[in-house]
Amino acid sequence: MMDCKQILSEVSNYLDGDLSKEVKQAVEGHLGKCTRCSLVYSTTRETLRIVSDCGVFTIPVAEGTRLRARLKELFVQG
Amino acid sequence: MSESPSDVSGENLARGDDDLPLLDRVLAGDAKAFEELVRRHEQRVYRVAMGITANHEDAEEAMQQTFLKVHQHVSEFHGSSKFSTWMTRIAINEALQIRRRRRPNVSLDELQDTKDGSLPKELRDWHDNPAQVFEKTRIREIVEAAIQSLPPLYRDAFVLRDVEGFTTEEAAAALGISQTALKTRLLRARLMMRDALAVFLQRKPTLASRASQVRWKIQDALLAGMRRAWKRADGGGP
Repeated sequence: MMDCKQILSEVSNYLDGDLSKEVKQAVEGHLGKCTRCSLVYSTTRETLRIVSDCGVFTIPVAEGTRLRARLKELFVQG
Repeated sequence: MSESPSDVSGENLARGDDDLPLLDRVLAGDAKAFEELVRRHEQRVYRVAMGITANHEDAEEAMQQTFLKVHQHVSEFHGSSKFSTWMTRIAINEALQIRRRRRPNVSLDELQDTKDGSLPKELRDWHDNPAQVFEKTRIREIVEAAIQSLPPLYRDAFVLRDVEGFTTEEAAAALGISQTALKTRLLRARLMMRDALAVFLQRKPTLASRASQVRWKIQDALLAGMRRAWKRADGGGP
């Protein structure tokens, strides 16, 4: 029988579908009964969804332009 | 005569590596083609560089070094992976080198800061739709700040797996660590990210959620007491 801490240590592998059949069943059985672990799981999944949707670290236009100009300069010199 | 990327990578063409025709032109000395290659990949290189260095100036330097290296070594690309993967690995190495130079003390010690499997202290449900609470730009700012606040070694794992979409195997290979180490760092990074976003996205406490917190605390204390008693009964000492 896995306790909350053990379940939590498998949350990430569970999200990646990277668990053996037995452990996966144990995690799912626990999540079905434990509000707290279920909340950690659902909000971690939501975290990954938000990160993937929001398009982090977009290159500023000026930075892209500066990079291309600098590379051109270096190639002309080189 | 040296082989061009498209000569040697029939496998890659089959997988649809759109960069190969452009690479052939770069190898033939077409400067415009290289500019197009930079334009096509600057976003990805910047994202990786920012993710690893967490600093604009360093990311800019890493980008420049990456594209210079790509230009110098493009003839060594033989298509065993997609060009974008090959180039991203160069970007990862450049960014890591710059970070090591700036912060030589980033070490494995940082990995001991977080206890395995520790439950978040406060847990409440989140708003169903973050877009109803924050503007899209604000959400992006919150996420970027959260990523930048991660300890560097966790951040690397998170950026490669959950921002760039590398597989566990690819991310572990790029960082030169085992897949088990990668998974451990990723677990911690994901839980830290969850905690960081929770500050902004969880609902206000209600009487019911406060009652749950109290119940969970009592439950934890009882379980800890039982564990200690079992340990003593097993002869494990006080």
